[in-house]
Amino acid sequence: MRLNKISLCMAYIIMSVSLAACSGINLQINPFGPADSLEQRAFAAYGAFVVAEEQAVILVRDKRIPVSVRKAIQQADRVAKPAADALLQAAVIYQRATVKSDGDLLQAIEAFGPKLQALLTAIRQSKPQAWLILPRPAHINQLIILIA
Amino acid sequence: MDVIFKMLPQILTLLQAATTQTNLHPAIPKWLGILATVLQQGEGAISALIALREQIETMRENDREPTEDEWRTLLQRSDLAHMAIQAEIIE
Repeated sequence: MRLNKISLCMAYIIMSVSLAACSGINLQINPFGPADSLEQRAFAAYGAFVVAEEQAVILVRDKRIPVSVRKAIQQADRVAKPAADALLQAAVIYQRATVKSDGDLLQAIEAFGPKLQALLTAIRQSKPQAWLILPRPAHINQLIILIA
Repeated sequence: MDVIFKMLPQILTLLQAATTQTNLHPAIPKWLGILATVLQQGEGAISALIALREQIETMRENDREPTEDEWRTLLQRSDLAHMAIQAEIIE
């Protein structure tokens, strides 16, 4: 009986620590959080895209994942890449300009946000547990809200 | 925090082994095992996201913007990954 109480306490502690760790992880690896300036936000968005693409390479090669899901990841990357590179180009032009005009860079981030979201969604379909690791929809929304 | 994060899969695996020996509900060691596996599988993405976050934190602390070199490095990684994804014949 005593052992059962100890076991229950231990289970409670383990679950609490695990849940706390998981919520901490989500906060910890949201790359958009520390970004302050427009250029830093653009860099965070492009950086998150690169990490997602690098994960996508592993996933499209994994034959255990259904063909339809792997094709969806490939298609999402095909759509997102030009928007990502347009964002990068806008950021570099912005950086080089002596007189800063936010318009083009803001527009590039806004155009890229949904495409990054679509790629992350496609990755989550292959690995539902990826919500623990990759930026969540709320993070992308945070990025868009920050620039609005 | 990053160190704890990186050690979490090992900690969870140890906890899983420890809880298997007890008379806890069998679902507890099972879920600890699943969580450990998920974290191990995503280790590459976790490290990359942490590195990116730290890079941006450093920029903010030093009140500077990303350099063209930093952009170029990301572009090269993206180009490589993009080519690998699109080269894959899925059928």
